[in-house]
Amino acid sequence: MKHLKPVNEKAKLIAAASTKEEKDEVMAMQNPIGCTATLDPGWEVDAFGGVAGLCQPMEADLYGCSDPCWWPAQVPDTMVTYPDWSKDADQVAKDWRNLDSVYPGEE
Amino acid sequence: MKRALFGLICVVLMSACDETTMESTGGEREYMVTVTRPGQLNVIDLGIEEIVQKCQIPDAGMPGTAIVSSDGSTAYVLAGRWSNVYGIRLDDCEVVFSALQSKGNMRVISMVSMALSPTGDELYMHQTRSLLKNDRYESLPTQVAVYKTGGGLDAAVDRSFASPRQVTVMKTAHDGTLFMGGKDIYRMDVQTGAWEVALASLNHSYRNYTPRDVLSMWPLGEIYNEMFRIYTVVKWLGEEGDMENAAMKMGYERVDLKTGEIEEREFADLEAILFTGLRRPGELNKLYAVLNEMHVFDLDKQEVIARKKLDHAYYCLNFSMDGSKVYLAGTLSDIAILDADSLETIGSIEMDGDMAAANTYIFKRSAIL
Repeated sequence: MKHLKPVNEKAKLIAAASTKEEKDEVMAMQNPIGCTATLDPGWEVDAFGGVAGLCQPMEADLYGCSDPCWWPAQVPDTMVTYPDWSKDADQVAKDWRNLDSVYPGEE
Repeated sequence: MKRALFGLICVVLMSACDETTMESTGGEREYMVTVTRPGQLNVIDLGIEEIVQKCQIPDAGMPGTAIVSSDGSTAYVLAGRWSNVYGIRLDDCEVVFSALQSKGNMRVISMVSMALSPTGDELYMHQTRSLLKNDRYESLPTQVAVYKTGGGLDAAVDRSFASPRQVTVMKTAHDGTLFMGGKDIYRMDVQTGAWEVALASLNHSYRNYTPRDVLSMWPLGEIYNEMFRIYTVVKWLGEEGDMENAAMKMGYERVDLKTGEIEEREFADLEAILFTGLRRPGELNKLYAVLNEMHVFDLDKQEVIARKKLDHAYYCLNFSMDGSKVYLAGTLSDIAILDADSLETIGSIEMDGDMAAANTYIFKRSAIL
């Protein structure tokens, strides 16, 4: 932060908050907002920097991660905006073809 | 229903029924419940390794966390996309209890976190609450809400207490104390709401270690009255932060629910990502853990003594009560049954939908006919 200078009110608030170490002010907000508010990067690699530790095959991990919003970017938000995205794929290893893309505003 | 029909045939053709089948008409049997998509509670008779009851959950089934009352009569399932709880009577699948936690513009989510009192007359829910206002959302303090299980459908909160945030699994000790697994493990008096840290995990004070990383999504340990979770941690062998001179370790945290005793133990180097682990009943020196592979650890030697390759990843490991069989569940729609000695796959239970993040809960009760 030493090379960044806040220039408006919001930035000044952020800068001030980040120096006070008030960690208790940070609260999970993904529940009402949905999966897109969840930041969980690094899922593409495991703790060792490889892929062997990721669930195999990926279908085995799909719902276990998307139901609680652990895959925020890769699949539709089934907690809030697209709750029925997987309704035709109860067994994803067999039914994965029924999982489709979604588009804003579609029924 | 299949089980009921089988029992009827046994009555008619008594001589054709083997000893295992006879046991089902009296005495206690070992059962497992687990939830599958889209919203089905499966009751599995572990003696015959078959589904004997399929109950429809009147909601989206996920996440499908299930616990069973101590008398084995009723399963309580967290469903409705982390929001609603249903009590389902296992004999006839009737929904006898529900708690629809979100009301009005208050959205309530429970991340796996629910527990029953020892007598089964109270249900404890950890609630993450958000107020959806016209111009903004407001995060409210988290709380433990207490419901009377006799409260019927759409039960009201009996009382509530302020609680730590980010709690996932919860268990109740025999004396009624509520243990909550989150960043640390907390204990709460459910009459007064007073709580304290029972075991510091993320906030431990051990030197030369990073904060622990715990994936605590499955309420494990019901077969021997424990709360159990495994953790990973980095141990600094040299300067703090020097990853070239550090060891990645695994350990477990345990609460004995009979006595309230707390235990923490480092047991091996971290060589693979494993989601759940349990000590083997009857051989508590062995810990079995699973994800893409199943590993068996010798806790005294602090090393892996066996590895088993699996067809696919499983999240959730459990044991038969005598420790002779391992059940691997979660993720897809099959439960693998392994011989705990040889690690050979000796059976599989196929279900109609994926379990995803659902747990397995094993208990004993009289036969479900």
